[in-house]
Amino acid sequence: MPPRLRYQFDREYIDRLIAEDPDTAQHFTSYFGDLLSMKLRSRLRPALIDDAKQETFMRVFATLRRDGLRDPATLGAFVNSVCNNVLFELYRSGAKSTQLEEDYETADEKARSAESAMVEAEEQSRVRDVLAEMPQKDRELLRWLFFEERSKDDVCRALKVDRNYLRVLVHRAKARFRDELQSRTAGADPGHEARRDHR
Amino acid sequence: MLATERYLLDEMTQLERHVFEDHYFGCEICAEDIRVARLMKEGVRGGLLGTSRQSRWRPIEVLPWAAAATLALVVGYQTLGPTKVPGAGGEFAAQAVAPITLRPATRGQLPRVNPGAAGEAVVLAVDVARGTGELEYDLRAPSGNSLASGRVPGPAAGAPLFLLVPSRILTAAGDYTLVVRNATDRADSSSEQFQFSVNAAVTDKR
Repeated sequence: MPPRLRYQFDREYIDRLIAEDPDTAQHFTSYFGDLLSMKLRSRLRPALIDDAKQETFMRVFATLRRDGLRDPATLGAFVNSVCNNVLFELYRSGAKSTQLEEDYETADEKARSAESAMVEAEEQSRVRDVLAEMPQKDRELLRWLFFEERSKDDVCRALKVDRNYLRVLVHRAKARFRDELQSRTAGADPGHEARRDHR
Repeated sequence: MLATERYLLDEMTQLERHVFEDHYFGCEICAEDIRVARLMKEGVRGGLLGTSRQSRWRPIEVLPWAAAATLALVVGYQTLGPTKVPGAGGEFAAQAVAPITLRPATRGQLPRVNPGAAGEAVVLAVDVARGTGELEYDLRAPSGNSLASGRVPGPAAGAPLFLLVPSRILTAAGDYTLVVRNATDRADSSSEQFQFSVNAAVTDKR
């Protein structure tokens, strides 16, 4: 998978985040962005997901700058709880999230968008290559479940398995996907392993 | 056990989802697992898997018979996939159907298609402009995702192209698009688009 520097959510990390260190901010939004996308996908229309993510990040940054965080290890739980609040407000209002703060740096965001688009394109290309290399049975299973969105009962009947074993098949497909993705990422970036545990 | 898979397959209760999300936001190992799962799922949903013309589901059958405007066809359900329909005499039953005529996309109301129940099929009579030579078709859901694609021999001059579409792939309400192009000429100008709509009320009843 795309190289990701490993960070510990400790006091130094929080301080760097508050100080708007670019590398730390990039790691933060990338790390939690994936988790937020997964959380929000089943709850919001696609058009609202990015808004909810950005609102969550802005509130987290604002709170950290104002109050800090008593226990840095709870940063993840804090992000999740802020997201829950954003979701609750969206459900109640049925509208898009609140306006951006006045000091929101749109120019910087545009610059990051271009970089993000490039990273996203590279990631898509890598995922496409990995999926193409997966065994036909895995590809078929994933297509039925996530592209054709067939009912899980239909898929179980076709494969003559029960729901428990269906999860096992998905688990194995995911494991093969991960292994292939990691081998491609390591091959593309030989320094990836050397940069692990960077703080 | 296999929590990420249950989460991925939407098999958790709302409470279980909240508990699991609270966990993976704070657990690096589970967060990484979720990230991989998301990449895989979103990649497939986004069409990065590509389409397979060898799918066991065989989503669309082409009926090469020329026909008049109103056509009664006898169809064997064996061609529609693994679902077996009980009927007199064995594994498949015959049923008469009437085709829905599709013409190139124009303004005005789109033809409405009633998919019926799972195990049934819809016959589309596609009024292609170029009836000779090999054709490529691509049926797209309202979301834009490709549901089925393939290459077929063109119909005889003056006859429509008949496509047999299993109802089970018409699960989403909205406007579907069928793109047909000359298989030997990939230029955009040679493609034709045909649209039909699936009624939401019918879809919800299935």
